[in-house]
Amino acid sequence: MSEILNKLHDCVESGKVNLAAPFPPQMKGQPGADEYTKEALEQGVSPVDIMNIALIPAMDKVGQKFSEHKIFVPQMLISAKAMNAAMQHLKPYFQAGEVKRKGTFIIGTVFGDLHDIGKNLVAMMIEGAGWEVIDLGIDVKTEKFAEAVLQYPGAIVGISALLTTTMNNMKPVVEAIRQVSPATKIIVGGSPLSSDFASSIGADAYAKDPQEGVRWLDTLVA
Amino acid sequence: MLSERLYSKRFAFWEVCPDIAEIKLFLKAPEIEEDHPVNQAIREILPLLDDNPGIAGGYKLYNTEDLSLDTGSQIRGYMKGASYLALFTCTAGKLFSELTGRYNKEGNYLEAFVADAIGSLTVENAMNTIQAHLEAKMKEEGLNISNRYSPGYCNWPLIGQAALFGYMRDIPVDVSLTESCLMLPIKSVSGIIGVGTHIKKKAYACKICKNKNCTYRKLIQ
Repeated sequence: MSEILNKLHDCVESGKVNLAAPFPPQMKGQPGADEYTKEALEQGVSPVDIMNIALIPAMDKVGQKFSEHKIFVPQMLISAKAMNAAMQHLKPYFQAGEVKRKGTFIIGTVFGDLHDIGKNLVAMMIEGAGWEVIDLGIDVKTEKFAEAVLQYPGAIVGISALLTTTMNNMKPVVEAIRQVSPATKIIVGGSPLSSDFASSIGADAYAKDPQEGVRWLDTLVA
Repeated sequence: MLSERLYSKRFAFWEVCPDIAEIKLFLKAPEIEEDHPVNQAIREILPLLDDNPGIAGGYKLYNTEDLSLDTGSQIRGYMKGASYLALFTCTAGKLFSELTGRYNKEGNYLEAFVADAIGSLTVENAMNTIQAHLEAKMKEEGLNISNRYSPGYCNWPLIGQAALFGYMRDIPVDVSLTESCLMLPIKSVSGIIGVGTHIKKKAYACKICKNKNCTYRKLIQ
């Protein structure tokens, strides 16, 4: 890994957003993900390498540490902020098609449920893993999921629920998606769920945490 | 006969504001540097909550035999011997939802997460005060109280909220229920407390509750 990509990787992993950010203390006064991404592009490093060598592996480490309870939600969010600072510089390359994403992931919290923390974490980690994320928000009606699947052919769908009362709303969503697009892959998550429940409603997978979701998605593009 | 059956109270934020150490512990960031983004977020958010007008809670006491609540066998066991049940609700107000919504919209997810955590702690602190009032009042009557139990915990199905709220219409606290039994504002709690001469508080029941992701568990672990 080139030195600048190495530094960028470290900034994202440790949550160093930019030069002005005083965190982490050992990097105080140093450039952050924002500056290093800009510098890397100016040096001619390809946006693809920035993504594949620095950003994605850094977020993968963060997700792994979260899975292993070595870090907690705040640290993950700090890293995601650093990742976003880097991504701002890469946006034009995504828009121009110079950097290809692994695919499109549509995510939303099922209708009747207004919880968004878990859904947001998953969205961030999946974006950090190189996917384009379409976030439909919270309390997402069945028809909205179905419309999104038609709008983004080939996209994979993630449905979130936090309550025992709303997890049952996932089944009609899965059925509606299957009706308009039988081949669409669907993953579900949320604290009251289990893999048995996912199977029972016809979903393809269940993820207990964001990293498990990322791993599953990656098997679909392998 | 109980002298007071219905009680409610509004709180200023400073009365129930969690202290910074408590917030950091809840966020699993107890020992962080002064410049840590979590500290920065806490410092930014707390002043925004000073004028929160929506923090309120209360309870209504019923004779046990006058209620029909299917709390499940576990909580029924804890309520055994209760002469009265105090049905309670408490909210930290809609300011928290507005704040987290705004932060999320701006992409400031850490700040949203911290605001959400402060909301959880605030409503618990407010409810602790309501519960302490109930305990003091019942002591005057020679009665004890149990722990508080809520739908969605200790095997009381969340759907039990609907019946519970049906009995709490007199409590002047602005909490409503969605079709999926979600309380609005989101930072709200509800449930029951047993009252009686032979009722006892138990060691916290997390060990026997199936909900591994609940706020109470986070608070004590």
